[in-house]
Amino acid sequence: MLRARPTVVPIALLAALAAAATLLLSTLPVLGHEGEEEPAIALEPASVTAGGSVLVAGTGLVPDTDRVLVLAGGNITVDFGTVRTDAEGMFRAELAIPAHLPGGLYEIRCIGDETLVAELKVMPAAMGGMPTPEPSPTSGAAPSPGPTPATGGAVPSAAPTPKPEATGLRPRSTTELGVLAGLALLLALAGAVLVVRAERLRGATAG
Amino acid sequence: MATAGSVLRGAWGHRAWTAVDERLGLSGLAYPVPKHANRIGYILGGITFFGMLILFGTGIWLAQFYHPVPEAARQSIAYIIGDAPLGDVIRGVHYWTANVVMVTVLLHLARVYWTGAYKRPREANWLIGLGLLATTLGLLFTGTVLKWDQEGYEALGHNLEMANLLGVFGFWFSADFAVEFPILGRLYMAHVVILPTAGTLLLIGHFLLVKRHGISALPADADRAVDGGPAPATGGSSFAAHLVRMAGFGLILLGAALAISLVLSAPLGPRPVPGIEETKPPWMFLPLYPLEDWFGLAALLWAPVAGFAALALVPFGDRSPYRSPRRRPIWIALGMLVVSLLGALLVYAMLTVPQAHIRDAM
Repeated sequence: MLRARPTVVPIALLAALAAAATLLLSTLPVLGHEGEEEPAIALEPASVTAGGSVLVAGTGLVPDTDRVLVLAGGNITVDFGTVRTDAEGMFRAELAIPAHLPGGLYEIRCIGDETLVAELKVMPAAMGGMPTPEPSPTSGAAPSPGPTPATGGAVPSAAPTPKPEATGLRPRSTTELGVLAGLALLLALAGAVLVVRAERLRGATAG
Repeated sequence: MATAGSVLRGAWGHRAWTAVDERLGLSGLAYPVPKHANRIGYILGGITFFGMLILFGTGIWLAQFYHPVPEAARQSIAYIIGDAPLGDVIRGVHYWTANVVMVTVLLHLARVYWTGAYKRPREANWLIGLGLLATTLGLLFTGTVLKWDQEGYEALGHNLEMANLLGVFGFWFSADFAVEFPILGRLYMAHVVILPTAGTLLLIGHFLLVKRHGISALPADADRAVDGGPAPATGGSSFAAHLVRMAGFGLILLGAALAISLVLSAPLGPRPVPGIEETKPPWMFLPLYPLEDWFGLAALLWAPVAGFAALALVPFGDRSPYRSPRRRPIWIALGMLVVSLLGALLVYAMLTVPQAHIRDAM
């Protein structure tokens, strides 16, 4: 006599298959990332003397896209312009570090959909009393003033110990201020006299 | 007609003037001046001219210390402010005079519009005057960029966007036009050479046409002549008195600018940071700011083009021979509407927070 087969086996089998499938599906995203590089940038060398150059390499990026390279530290920003990734999401660029950059720790930022950062140590160049023009954007994604000489001409500047930047009124002695205020008053008064007396000057009303 | 010689007191002064005039023919520059020409409304152009002379002189001084490369521009201005002989004062006089000159230019334009002085035969001089307005705005724009602070850098960003909008016609405004030379240097050249040269040539034309046509009569007098009344008087004062009065206002302007610069420094903002927009333009460009907010960067190009085109067409649209404001109600209403609109845009722009325009456009 045939007995009905217990249904326990197929149910257990199905449950096992479902569990295996769930496990497989849940691991798919992980497996999908295996072998893909995380986006990253690297510097060579990681420390440089101001005026030197550093090679920056990006990997794992979206292919054929633009990235903006910027050096930043403190309130200094140097814009190196735009690089384009290749078909494999990589790029290489040589960055000329401005000779006037003060020593310290900076960041090289690779700005795209995400911002990748690598630290760069900059050692000050031996300036030997050269003027120290401030770092400033020289080119970039928005305004791009074009390449410029790193240093040029005699910009008056206190070289070794930078003094606080002057952006407002210069402190003046009372005497100096008095002389300048007196000059302003004298000019205004002389002008007023000319305005008032213009018509009274000899012969002025002759048509 | 009285000349400068006739207002110089004493025989020595008269002899000196005669000797100079004999050789240079300066009296040939004189023209009949009616009495009303010495009123403040009719002397605004002269005040503007003397303001330009102040800007020229102070600009030469500043140019001795300014370094037109991106790495050093802002630092050289800081040097001018902190160390150059009288640098902060001279820069202050330059800055405040430029602002006053912009005001006098606009008031001069408003007076000419109000009195219908652009009408035949002065249409060409109206157009030259518009050229001078554009030149003045160009000088103010380039002067803003030269500071190379955040405001100047953002202004340059807009300049480059204009280059994009203009396409092939915007080549000069593009950094790609001369890649070996920073665009800051080219804008500096525009500020100290190109625009002053253009302005000088336009001024010469402006003055020659004023001499040719004379100073415009008062609107009521001109209208009486149209209705068959007597021709307006062309004299009553003298060229010398007119010139002296202008010079007087020029000295007052210089004294006032000097006094202000002892109390209020000409601004210099923080070092520029690429990729951010956090400043607003100077007040004379501020009415364009809301338009840029609403319609994008293209508004910066088309709104001024439309404005200048409309102004250029005024003498050719307003063909009635009458000049009194009450006999030109439509044109006066239109003018007041435009002024009110600009004022409203200015106030709105002052009240709104800065917005990013360039970044959004990229």
